[in-house]
Amino acid sequence: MRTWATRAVCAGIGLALGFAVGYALYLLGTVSHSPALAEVHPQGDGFSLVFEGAARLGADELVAADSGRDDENLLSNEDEAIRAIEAGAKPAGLTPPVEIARARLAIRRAIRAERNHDAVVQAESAGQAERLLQSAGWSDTSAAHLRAIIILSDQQGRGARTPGGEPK
Amino acid sequence: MSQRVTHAMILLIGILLGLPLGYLRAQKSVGGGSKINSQWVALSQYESLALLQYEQSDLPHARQALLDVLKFLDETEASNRVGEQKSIDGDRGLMYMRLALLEQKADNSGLSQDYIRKARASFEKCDGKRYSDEDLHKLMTKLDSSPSHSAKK
Repeated sequence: MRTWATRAVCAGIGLALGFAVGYALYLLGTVSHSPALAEVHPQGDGFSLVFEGAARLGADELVAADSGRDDENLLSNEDEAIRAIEAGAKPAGLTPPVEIARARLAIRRAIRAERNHDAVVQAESAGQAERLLQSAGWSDTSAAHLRAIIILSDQQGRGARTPGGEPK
Repeated sequence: MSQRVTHAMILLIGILLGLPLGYLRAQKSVGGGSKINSQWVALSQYESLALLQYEQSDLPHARQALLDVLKFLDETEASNRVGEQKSIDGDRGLMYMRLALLEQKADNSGLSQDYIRKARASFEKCDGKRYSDEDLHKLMTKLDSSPSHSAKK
């Protein structure tokens, strides 16, 4: 009787362990392949690059909007994601407005430079954003205009993602 | 000694049986959500860039951006990355409606009507409801009166 009980306990422990390991293995695989969390795989086909780049860029923008982070690490990740979108767009036959993503990135750099009292980088970044907006056909190509849009969009995003904080 | 070996064997068999069970369970509970999340983040980013173009740029750039989103949606379906078909159909309907409004402003009423028809078909596929022209225009007016849209003024 005792022998059977011990065997049942062993089987139960084995099943539980196996279940946990199987579950964890799937989670690990999901995280490593999730375009929003993992690095963009540069060996993908055109559309994969665009899709993964957009997901990565979206995830970075969520972080920037929610936490107000604009450190070089985050902005470099955005830059890498934009490059992936650019690289994949032509083979995929897509024409996403990457200049807008680049202009937004330049404005985030300008905001950081302003905070660090770096007038040179601030002016360079703002100028870059304005040139990009011009090529994108915007009616108002001023850096101040895009900056206002970004700040508003960050606030709206934060509001929408905070329980009970729907933007007014 | 032989009893220990028996227990170890039972433990091992348990692990081998539990492993696929855990994997399949995670696939069922987490897999769908992960696909939906990826789709949501990628689509919302792609669309938000296009919507900025729609709101802020000239007609050719705005038109190109919206048409490009439609192509992106098609490719998302073709590459089997759809986590939630309803949201793809709904987004497609919204893009068609915005195109319809653009073409209406550009005095291309034939093309505008064509886009309205396509928008209606997409919304119908999305939630099974039948929308009138008025319903669709109301929906667009509501969507496009967001603060970011008015920021350009």
